[in-house]
Amino acid sequence: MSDDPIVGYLADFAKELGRLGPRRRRLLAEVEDHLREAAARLEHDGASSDEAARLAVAQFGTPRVVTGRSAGSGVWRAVAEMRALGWRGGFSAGALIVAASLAVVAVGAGRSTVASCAPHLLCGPPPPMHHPLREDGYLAASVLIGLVTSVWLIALGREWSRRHKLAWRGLLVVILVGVAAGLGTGGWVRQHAPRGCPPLAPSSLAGWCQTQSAQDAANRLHRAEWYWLGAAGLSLLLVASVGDLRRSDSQIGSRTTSAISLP
Amino acid sequence: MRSELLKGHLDLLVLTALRSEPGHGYVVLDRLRRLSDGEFALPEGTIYPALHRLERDGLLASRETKHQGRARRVYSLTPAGKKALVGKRAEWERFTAGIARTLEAAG
Repeated sequence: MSDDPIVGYLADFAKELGRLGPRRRRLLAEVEDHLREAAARLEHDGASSDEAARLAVAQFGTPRVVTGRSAGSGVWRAVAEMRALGWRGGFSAGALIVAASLAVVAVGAGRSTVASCAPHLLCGPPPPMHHPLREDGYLAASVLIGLVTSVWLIALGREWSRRHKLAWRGLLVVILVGVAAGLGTGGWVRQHAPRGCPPLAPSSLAGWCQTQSAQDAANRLHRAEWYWLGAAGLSLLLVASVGDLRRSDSQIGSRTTSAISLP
Repeated sequence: MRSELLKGHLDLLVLTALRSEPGHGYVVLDRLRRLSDGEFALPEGTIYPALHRLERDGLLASRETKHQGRARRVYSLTPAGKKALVGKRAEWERFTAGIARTLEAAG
């Protein structure tokens, strides 16, 4: 977070506004102009730069006090509340989809043969499949997951660098990196790993691997779709989280694009 | 002056501060401070909801200008605002006169 008290205040103010509406940008611009002018006046009167900024912020009043009078209760506020709920709902839904797809990919697609072939990496890939689109599903979905996660991380990282209040999102970044890496690596390995048991696998596993490999083929078709579902879930997370960031405090001052209703 | 007392009359004060010439929020506050000899002490941010409300009611108009690279919104009285100021001022004078008479009568 910036050391500038005014920037910090504007971030808090934007967070307090927090909703979409037609006049949010205008209000934030007015507040910033006011604080800058007040600070300049105080600095001219002898205060240090930092002291002047802090005093200007203190005299302006807390964001809650000011926005409490600004937010109003009109239609825009209701619409904004619904949008905010939509972002959160999208975020939650995306997280749930990712979690569900992860669980299915990890445990199996609901077919007993998958569970019986737990050491998939030892068993190797299945015989050639007849559906090229599905056969390529693992790799394509993995690439998509990587792309989506990258965009998401860039957007999140930029915002995180602006404010340090996004600690929970930082944790989420780590989790998603792990998710994406796991899904991507898993998809690639499952598509490209050598057939049959690896050279170092115990010879006692050879027959078991071959048997399970054939049974596992159909499951791979099924599980590729869960990879796609995981990618879709990540996409939803991306849209919802970026929307939520835009809603909150990345859009301060001249960069603000959303707005809030005023009385 | 207590904020609660001031709030009920903020519209009148804002209109008064803008009567002579247009100004942005900081200038409005500055004029109010000078005109009241520092008597009015509201959190400065509370001026903006009042400005926006008066604009929404058609008593103020605003335009955006640039000042040192920053967007600045300057407010001015509309004809309806000028008329409202006259009415509010008359209302205030009747009100204070009534209070004064009551207090004097009570001794």
